[in-house]
Amino acid sequence: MKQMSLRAIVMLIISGVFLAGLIVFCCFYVTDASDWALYPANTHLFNDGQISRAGKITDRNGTVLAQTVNGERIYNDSRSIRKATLHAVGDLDGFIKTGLQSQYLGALCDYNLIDGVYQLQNTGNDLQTTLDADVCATALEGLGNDAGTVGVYNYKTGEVICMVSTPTYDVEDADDVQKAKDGAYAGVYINRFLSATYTPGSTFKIITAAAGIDTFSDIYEREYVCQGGVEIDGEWVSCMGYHGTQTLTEAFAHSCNAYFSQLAVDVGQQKLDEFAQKAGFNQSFAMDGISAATSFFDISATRDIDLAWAGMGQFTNMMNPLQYITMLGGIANGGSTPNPYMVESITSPMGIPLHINLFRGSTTVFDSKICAEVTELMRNAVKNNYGTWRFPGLDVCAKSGTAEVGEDQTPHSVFVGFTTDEDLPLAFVVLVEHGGAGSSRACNIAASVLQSAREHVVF
Amino acid sequence: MDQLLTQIQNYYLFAARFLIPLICIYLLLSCARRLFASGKNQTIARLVMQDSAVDFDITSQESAIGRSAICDIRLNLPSVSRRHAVLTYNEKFGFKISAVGNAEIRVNDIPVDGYAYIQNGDVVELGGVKFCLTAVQDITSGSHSAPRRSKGAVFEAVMLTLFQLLAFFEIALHYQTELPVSVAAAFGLLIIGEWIYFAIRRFRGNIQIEILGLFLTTFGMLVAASAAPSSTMKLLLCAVIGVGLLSGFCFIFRDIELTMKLRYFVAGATILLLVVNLIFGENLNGARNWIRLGSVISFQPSELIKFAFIFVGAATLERLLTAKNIVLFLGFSCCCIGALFLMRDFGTASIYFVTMLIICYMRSGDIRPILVILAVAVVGAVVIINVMPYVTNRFEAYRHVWEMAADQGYQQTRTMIAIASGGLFGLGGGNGNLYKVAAADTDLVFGFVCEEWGMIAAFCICASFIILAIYAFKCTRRTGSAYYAIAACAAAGLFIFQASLNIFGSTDLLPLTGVTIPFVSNGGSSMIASWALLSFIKAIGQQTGPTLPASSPAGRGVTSRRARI
Ligand SMILES: [Zn+2]
Repeated sequence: MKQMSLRAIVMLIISGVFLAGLIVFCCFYVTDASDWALYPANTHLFNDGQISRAGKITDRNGTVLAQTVNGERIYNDSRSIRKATLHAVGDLDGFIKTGLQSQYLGALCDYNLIDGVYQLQNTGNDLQTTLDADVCATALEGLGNDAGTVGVYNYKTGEVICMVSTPTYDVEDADDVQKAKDGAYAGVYINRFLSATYTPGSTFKIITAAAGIDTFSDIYEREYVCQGGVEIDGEWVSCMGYHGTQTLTEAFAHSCNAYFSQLAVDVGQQKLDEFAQKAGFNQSFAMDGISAATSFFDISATRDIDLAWAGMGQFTNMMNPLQYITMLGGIANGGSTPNPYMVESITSPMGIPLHINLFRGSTTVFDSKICAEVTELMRNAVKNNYGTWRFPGLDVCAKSGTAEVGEDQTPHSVFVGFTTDEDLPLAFVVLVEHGGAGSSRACNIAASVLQSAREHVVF
Repeated sequence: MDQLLTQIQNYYLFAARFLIPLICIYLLLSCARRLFASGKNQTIARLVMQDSAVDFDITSQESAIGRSAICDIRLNLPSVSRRHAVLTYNEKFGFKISAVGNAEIRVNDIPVDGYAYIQNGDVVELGGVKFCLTAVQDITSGSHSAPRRSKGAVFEAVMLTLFQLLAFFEIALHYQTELPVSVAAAFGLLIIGEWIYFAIRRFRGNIQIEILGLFLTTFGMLVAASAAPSSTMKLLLCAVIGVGLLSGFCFIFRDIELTMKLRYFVAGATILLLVVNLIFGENLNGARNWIRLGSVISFQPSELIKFAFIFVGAATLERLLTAKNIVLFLGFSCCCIGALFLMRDFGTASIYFVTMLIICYMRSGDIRPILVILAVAVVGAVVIINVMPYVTNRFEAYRHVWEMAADQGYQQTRTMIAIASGGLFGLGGGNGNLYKVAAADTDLVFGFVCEEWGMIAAFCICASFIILAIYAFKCTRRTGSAYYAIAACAAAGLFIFQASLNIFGSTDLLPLTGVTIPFVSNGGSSMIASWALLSFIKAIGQQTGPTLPASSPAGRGVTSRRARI
């Protein structure tokens, strides 16, 4: 029988193989089970492929943006709030990949590896955002039928109070949903604030100015001549006007292309590149773990004329609104800012907080001295160009941009900046695709959104 | 009222879903500890070497004698063959010595042709070495069917019943006022029946084997109660038949000579049944493996034949060493597997094939021919997969189930969704959604158990099969006959392979073949077959009482007969 017991070792091998198979299965379970559970065919959480068990999503004031009633997902009563917060909240089919209902689906449905989809109350978890529904609606009103995006956040705390992307549609209007599916609205499922990149246009002069301040100690005495433009490398860089001899402060306020193209050339490729990196170009940004598109800046091996265009925010530069707003917040906050976020809390039906916000981190941009000087340039631009009368009751520093996007096309209208009020420290980015001059269209939207924030938001 | 019941259900579930896995783990650990407790080998008799002070204790009913290191009684002398003889003990006839091949044996100086029965005091001569067979009185006296583990398995039985009650109440609260009477009756009868059985067995011997079987059967009934409540009672009846078969077979296995003779009869009956199946079989889900008797009873012969396959395949040590006759078994295997191919039941065919390989290895100890057969089979399988459209279609989705989630990957994706939904503790009996998918309670039963009872409970099912396999391994050394060893290993191997095909097939780690998990999948034939197969594992640990009369009244005559090959 000794012989038999030697042969029976094969049983241990068979058991071992079986066990190994189970371990492999466990590995798949750990890595993939959330995808399995959150697959729209899971009838515990979905009804006909649409979310049927998820908690409420509310704005900062408790206004319900989306909730589940009797197994059906219901959005806010107001059509404009539904449309304005659509990209933040997400649709029912999961087409808007960056929406909270896609990215935080597991938390909203209360799925986890240990308990599966079991929940005593069977209601899912509630999620409170930092958004303000009314401010978002104001931003949507401003954008109207144009494509574009508006983002506003508190650069002292990181709370995003407004994030709107257009075109958008009404999830509760079946015709509108169908139109969106049929492609009537270009890129409607993309949250432009997170997933788009745009030519920054003249708003990039903020970075060129910062690089200039750092490079030349006598920057304010430095003067360049504008003859309605300037010739570099035999190519004519035209200006909006005939500005004559300009200092940095004057040139920034007038957004003089001649000044900044010459400054960019003098600052040089290396320094400009360094400051673009500091501003967040070529870096990956994320908000609440939702990755944003990466901004792009590359002036290696370029001629002076390319450098000049790059310094004015044209050439191949591409900015991402999230990266840009973080940069502006950093400048406003004296060099660094808490990273923007919109998920304030996730709470179980028992009231247990499930979302810990300890690791959001912060982003550092330029030295505080440079930030302070850039702030002054931007404040001066508002005083002397855009007009403080547009922003009653607020102390706004800003820069407009008119981003050329090709021949025969109306340029993008860009307006970025921040308020320096103690109790309302907001950084903002407004971008209207093909909206024309930044100092009019985007500036007006920024003004109305900031007024709305002043009325509705208390930090 | 309804609201109150729902509240009770919610809070009961909240507690029970943690308690049940805990009890399952505790029950299994307790069973494993008892089963793995190393039993001491009993000395049946002693071979006293003449002209020397060397004694050999005979601790098994079958002992190989020879020069090789793997022989139980090792005689390292040039005049002795590597495997010289086999000493067999049988309750009826006493000791018997058989020569391996043409090896020379003399009993009381008379040359033996084939084999001879020997008595206490007989002198056996092997290759010039003389032994005297001596009874060991002080050990044998009172050792007859001595219960080594006298403690009994009351504790395990109580844990099992506790598990059954907790789980049943989950189901009952799920149905609330609509609980089918037959489901309640089935669980009631299960608990009453098992306690009657335990009482008859006095909680003794390796009764943990039956407890494991009942543990698995309970899961089968829980799945049935949730997925197809009307079949719960049927499943219980099949389990009762299964336990009856287990008891009967264990009784037969005690008489190894009778078992060996019955093999030919069983082999004949099996082939007859397969032929009947091929002619009168009915097609269900693409395989012609059902036979209908009248309007009520229908069964799957391929399930029941699993038992016969192992019954026929196993052999005693004497048979293995004296007649290296594996050809007959291979022929029989080919008949069975070929018939299954004709029925298009490829899943079961692969189970038979693997079982055949285990039996061949256990019988021959030679790995090379097994590897050759395996290689041929793999090539054959690849050809079949590529040629037969019915099979190709099934294999197309393998490792791409999420891309084909709406058609060929439907069952696998729904199983994985169910597993993820259940988490470690499950959603509670009856609360799953997998029942909407075809074959949820058979081919996809792993997902079903995971969703309703949780992954821990499902892994306890896997652990039960592993415990049985390790038990078969551990008992091989001390069991009475090679027959038991081969049969138990084959049965345990079959359980594990079948469970693997089901679990990994439904989770897309292997292609989906549509086989059942023994005991757990809803199916009467499968339930009966699983219990019948369990009897092999039960038998290997059974204490067949070795008694050697201290002095033989039957005289010392040497009976010598020509061995039948
Ligand atoms: Zn100019």
